[in-house]
Amino acid sequence: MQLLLRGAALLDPDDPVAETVLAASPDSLARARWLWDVRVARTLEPAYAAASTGIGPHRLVVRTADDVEAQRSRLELDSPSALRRPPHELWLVVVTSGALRHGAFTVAAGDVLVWEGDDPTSIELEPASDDVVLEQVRLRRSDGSELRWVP
Amino acid sequence: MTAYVLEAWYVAAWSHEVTGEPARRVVCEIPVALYRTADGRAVALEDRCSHRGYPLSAGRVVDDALECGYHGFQFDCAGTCIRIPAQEIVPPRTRVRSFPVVERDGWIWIWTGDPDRADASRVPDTHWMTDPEWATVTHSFRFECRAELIHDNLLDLTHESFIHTSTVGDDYIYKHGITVVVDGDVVSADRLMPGVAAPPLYASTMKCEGLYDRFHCTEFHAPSFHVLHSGITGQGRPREEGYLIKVMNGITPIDAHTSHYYYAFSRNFGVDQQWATDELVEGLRVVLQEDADALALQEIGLQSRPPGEFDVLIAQDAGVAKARKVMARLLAAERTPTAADAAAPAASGTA
Repeated sequence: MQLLLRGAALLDPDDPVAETVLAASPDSLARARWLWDVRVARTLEPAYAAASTGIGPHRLVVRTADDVEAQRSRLELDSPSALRRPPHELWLVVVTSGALRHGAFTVAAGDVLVWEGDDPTSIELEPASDDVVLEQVRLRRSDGSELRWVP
Repeated sequence: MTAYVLEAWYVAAWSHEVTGEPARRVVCEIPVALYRTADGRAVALEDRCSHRGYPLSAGRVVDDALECGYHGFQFDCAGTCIRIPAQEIVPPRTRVRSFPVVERDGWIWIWTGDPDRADASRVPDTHWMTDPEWATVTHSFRFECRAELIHDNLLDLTHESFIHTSTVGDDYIYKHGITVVVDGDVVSADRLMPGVAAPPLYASTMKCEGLYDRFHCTEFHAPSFHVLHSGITGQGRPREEGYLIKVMNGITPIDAHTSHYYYAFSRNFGVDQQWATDELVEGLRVVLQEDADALALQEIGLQSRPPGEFDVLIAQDAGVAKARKVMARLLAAERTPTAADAAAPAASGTA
């Protein structure tokens, strides 16, 4: 499954402390053991500032249980790129600067992409502007078993 | 009373249902009387006379005003009482609420929130209904379930594989993943199914055999309307080249356990073929009845579910989950007092 969250959908402009869950498992406590969640939060000390989206400075918050690992990295996309996602991993990409094309979509700064499961595992990204920068979060289980989501 | 998103447009009727004879609808537990003036304008008034609570829809239209059938009070299009037969004086409180109305492409929309916030530009696009390049079939249903179940149903079309086996379903549907996009108050769930057979219901109408790329994308305009963009196209070909279908779904809560369902199916193929239209009228009625039966059973199941038990959502429910979050956000926004509300003086005295 893949999910595209437009920046305008992420934060409530009238709520100074708004925090939005992008993806999580489980999606509600008391149903299953909590494993992980990824949130976007407004902050005065941004990890990145997607000013062009109008949602202001914000940052990603990644929390995991002991048996889930998260790896974060910054990518600069200056040419078409095909990423290979192992199907047992869940990936999340935030466009922090510029814009890219992914299939039929133009993904702008402040937008978020999430992939999980076996569709798709080949992810093609193409710059749609100069200076495209992404923040990538890779989530996996420590024992190598499949990590899924409940959005 | 169940919480509803009220700062919104809801489909209240088809255009042809609103005439010089008043008609009653219940929208989000609000009774509404609909009628049409002599010059053709659609009017929506609260369907409860301020005198004694009699339904105005049980009365009649007199000179563009709605006359209560109990004691003859007359209300104009703005809800102002203009005549009380038994006395000359009309007390100021003798009025009923009027609702902003938009009539477009055969749909009657009413705004259930603050009239000053009614923005006609927020009514979703339904132009296929009146475009001569498209042919349309419509149905109206009363679903014995809460509106949320219909939203879920439309945003997770894997149920077609099990509920609609003879019409639009096939096992290949749930084997293909979805792309969910959330953009403001619109949530879409898109599924592309490359190299598959056309759905049985449409295959003869489309006159197609062999394999095609099938697609469907549910676009939910929270809180009340879905446009399902679906169709088939040649393998590897752009969607716009194919046989296209636009399914428009007006979902209007009646109360916590029942909903109006206004359904329109527009197609860009076989537009002039009456036999195709006739076939679709019956086939789509079957599809809707299958949904109605299934969701009525689901409603019964949910009413008996113990507190603290919740749905177990899976990845195919990504659109469902995101739509629920959008609805929760809209509801929360209506519960939050605005600065203007806070500044308003407290009410004093009683009537």
